[in-house]
Amino acid sequence: MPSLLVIIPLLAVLLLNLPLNFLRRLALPAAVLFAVYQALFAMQLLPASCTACPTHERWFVNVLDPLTSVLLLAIAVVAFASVFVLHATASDEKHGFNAFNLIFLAVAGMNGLVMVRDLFSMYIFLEIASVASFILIAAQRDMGGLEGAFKYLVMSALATMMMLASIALLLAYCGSTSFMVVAEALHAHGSHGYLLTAVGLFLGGLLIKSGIMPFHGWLPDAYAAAPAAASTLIAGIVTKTTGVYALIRLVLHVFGPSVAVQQLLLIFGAISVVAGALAALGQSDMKRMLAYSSISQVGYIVMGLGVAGAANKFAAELGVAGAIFHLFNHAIFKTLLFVNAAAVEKQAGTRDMNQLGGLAQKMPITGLTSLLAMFATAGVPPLAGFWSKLLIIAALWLAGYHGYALLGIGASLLTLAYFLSLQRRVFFGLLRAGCENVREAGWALTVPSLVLAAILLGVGVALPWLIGSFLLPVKGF
Amino acid sequence: MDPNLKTELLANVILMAAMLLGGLATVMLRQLVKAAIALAFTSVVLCILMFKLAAPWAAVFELSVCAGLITVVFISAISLVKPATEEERAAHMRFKVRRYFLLPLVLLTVGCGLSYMTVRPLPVVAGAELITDMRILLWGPRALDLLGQILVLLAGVWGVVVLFKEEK
Amino acid sequence: MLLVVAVPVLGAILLPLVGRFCTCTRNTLALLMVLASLAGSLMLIGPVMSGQVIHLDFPTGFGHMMLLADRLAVFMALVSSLVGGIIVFYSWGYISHYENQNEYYFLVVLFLGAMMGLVFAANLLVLYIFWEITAIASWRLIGFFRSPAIVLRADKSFLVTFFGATMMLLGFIMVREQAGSWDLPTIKAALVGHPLTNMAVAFILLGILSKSATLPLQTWLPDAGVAPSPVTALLHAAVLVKIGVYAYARLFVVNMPMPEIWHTIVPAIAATSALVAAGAALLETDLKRLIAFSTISQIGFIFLGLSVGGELALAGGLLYILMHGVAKGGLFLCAGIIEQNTHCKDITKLGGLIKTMPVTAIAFLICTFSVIGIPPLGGFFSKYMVIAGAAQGPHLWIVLTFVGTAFLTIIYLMRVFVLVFMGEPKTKLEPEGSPVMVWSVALLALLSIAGGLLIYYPSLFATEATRQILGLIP
Repeated sequence: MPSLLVIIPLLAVLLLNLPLNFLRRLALPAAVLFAVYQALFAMQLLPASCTACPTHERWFVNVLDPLTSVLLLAIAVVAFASVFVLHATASDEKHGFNAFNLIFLAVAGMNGLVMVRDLFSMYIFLEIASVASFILIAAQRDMGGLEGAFKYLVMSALATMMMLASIALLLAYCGSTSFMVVAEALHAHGSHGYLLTAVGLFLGGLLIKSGIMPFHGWLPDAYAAAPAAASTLIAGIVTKTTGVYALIRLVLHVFGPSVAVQQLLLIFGAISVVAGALAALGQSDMKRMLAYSSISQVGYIVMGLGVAGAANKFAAELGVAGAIFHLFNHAIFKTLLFVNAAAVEKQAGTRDMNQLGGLAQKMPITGLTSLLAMFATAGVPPLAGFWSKLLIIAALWLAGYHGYALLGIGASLLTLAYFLSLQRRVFFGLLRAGCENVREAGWALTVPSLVLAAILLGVGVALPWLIGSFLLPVKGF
Repeated sequence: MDPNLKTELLANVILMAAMLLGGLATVMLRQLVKAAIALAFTSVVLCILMFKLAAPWAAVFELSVCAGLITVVFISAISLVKPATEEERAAHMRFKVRRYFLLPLVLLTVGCGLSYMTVRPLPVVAGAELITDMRILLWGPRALDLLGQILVLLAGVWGVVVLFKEEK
Repeated sequence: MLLVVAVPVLGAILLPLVGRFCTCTRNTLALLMVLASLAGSLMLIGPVMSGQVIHLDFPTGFGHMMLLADRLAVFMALVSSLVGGIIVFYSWGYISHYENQNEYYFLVVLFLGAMMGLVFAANLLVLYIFWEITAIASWRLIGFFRSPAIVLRADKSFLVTFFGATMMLLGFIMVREQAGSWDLPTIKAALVGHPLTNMAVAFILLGILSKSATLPLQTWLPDAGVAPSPVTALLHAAVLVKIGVYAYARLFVVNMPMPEIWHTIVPAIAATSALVAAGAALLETDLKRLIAFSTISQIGFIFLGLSVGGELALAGGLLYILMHGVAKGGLFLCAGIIEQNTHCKDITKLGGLIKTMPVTAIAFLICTFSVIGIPPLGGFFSKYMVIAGAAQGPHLWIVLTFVGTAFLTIIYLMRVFVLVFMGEPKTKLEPEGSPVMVWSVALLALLSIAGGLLIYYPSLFATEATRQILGLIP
């Protein structure tokens, strides 16, 4: 029952807030249980995911196609990790409990977002996740958090305004906001000025939401200033569903990958990939570096999506599969990196990379898992990130975008460069004075790290056998 | 041109100008209470425009929620706040003038430009009539959105709890 | 054959766990794993020499993920696991006074396992994956001592090789576009009569050159000399740099025909690289950097042998891989003994060490002779075959360059020997290294002699492998 994925978190929030004290302590087990349930639910759909599974219910009819299933799985995994981080880093019980509620709400919003097939409903669920994120970012009420939340809020308001205007235009002309009707209308009268405006506005809004360069101004502040659990959730999955997933879904199934859209995606994707990586090179705050890296990686996804309408059908399929797979991978490895950043910040008391050094000796699990996550990000085999990048680059090349392919592959060198610099300054190298008393983080941070790293390694090693049948059906690669 | 249409047009232009002025005043006014009232005024004008554009349901919501409820909440919240000193106000005013003086000009130019653009009409897709009855619209195909709105409201409640509740 | 790859790769993961309980068991286990690879490769000699080509297929989404053993692969596997085994043995002595030993053994064994995987790979993606695993392992190993300057150099080497590797991957994608498959046998069949595009060759060559530290991507190799000596031996001499050479043979000589022009360009690159590196070696005073430059120079000879075509040169190139691996491994390990005992790598500040380190000195001399190419040591035969084979080709000036480089080799290597071991002592004379280390270098020196005296067997193998490569026999 797909609708349970929205209703259970809602009920959980209501139940946990009954005025009974012992219920508060159930928040972590409840969240973990729900995440596991959702992951199993999504996994069971994956092997059969070549076509949408029929679901007979009122709200979500036939919605469980591969894209949705992959996203549900990613949401479950990231939520799993972030509630652990929350448990480990919450300053006191009350703050922690409030954040638990907000995470539940954000998860409900994201689950709804990936399952709806209607523009307006999509907008509403997108708002749920966003509103919960603003509050999560600002929850500490410190200056940085408020600033980050405010920037996010303003940019997000701009984006939603554009989307809402676009929805209004589309509603006026199509008489409905359901994907099917809008897609048909666009197919019939796609070149009309109004409709083009509508599509452009919506895409613009989504680009802001995804933090694509040059609309990324809010992203580093929001990620870096947020409390650890919030940044894990937001960087890991919230901006990926509210921005990138929506972009993929709409470009593929509603707007159609026309030549103009394709060019737009390729150009903005390429800018993000390169500029994000260059900006990341110059950072000394660990979380800011991760934020810029996130911009760069989202650029890859967008570039992969930009091949979706290529004349070479095989390349188009590869590009889409690569984009979706990279979205999943990105959720995993970026979450892992933020969990690691949380561990470092908690144990060493700072995120400034110039004050850290040699932590791998004191925090072996954090060091090792961060290494795996970084290699996955840079696309080093045999980790999962390698395969998705390979798919994207191959798609770009086969579709004839040779320059973009070269750019993408060159940027992975930049990615490796900034991550090596991070490793050098934080984990690898001699132990820095002042870090002698640092110890490994507790179970609440190491457990999610290990689980996420195992996913990266497992998916990466097993992918050659999975690629034709599981996760993403790509035939004949 | 038909004189009726002419008055109609004139009324529309006046109303839009009033709305624009109200919005500007909201941003520019230095006292929060006055800004809140200006916002209410803007909402009222917008509401009249919506009535004229044959969208009574939207107008009613705009009037009751935006102009009414929100103004009350704002004013009650503002009454809890300490006023700023004279110098702070002056500095803030200078900053705002510097920042916003071009805005009306830009808006006017864009608006004029847009009004001269002619767009060929697009045939409405057949078979999908707008549902005009609010009850059917809300409880029929849009029930899911209501659920979503409940969730948004809950998130907002936690926002108030987390961000504005005083620590004991 | 699967075991040859799987034992070290999977076994490596065990090592840190075992090392928590007992360092001795871990060290033995590490050596045993490498020896298992060696034994597995030895067992493959029989079937392969009788003309068989052994396949191992796993049908996957990327074509048949195959491992494949032909004579070339088995030859290379033997060389790597032999030298690798001796280096692991040497490590028992060398590495025993440093921290992070668990990580060290894990990475070394993983590295050798990945090398085995690379050697037997019959699919471009499999090859690439193992290629990168070796890069990761060598990054960590070069940065083993962890001071900021050292880690910086490790990062540099990783970035240079990763740059090459990504370019190579793009080249592989082009091959995939042209031939429609990632599997080498399928590609070979598809490309008969249609040479690769120039662009694909250029991109793949960038990867190969970066890995085997040939001009213009050679700079990381001398810098990597900051690693522990067994690692430098492993990387520079025996295994890592040979990956590039092997990939060249596997890809361009065996499977994918190149456009004609590259048969001139590659020898020219090799000649430039050999000459420039030899010149740099003449001026260098740091012992390990000097030997590293010598490696770059010698790699040029191997490339020459593989790229000019012709049976003699090709067989010479393969033999060169073996002889150079053994001899240069010996040189690096000797340098390790000297460095560890005197804490000095500057050859102008050393002297007279032959008095207290006779075994090391003699082993160093023998290995030097082998690298120089003095009969009856192994290095002579390989060098002779390469140059003689190349002389049959059309590029006389390239051959002359190489002959000149060979003379330079004599000068710079003898200069090292004389400065370090002869003359008056300039530092406090230190005793020999630990027995394990001395035995290792002695063993490598003996192998160099044996390689010359018993040249029949390796050269038979190399010649047979060449004949199989060129398709003279099925």
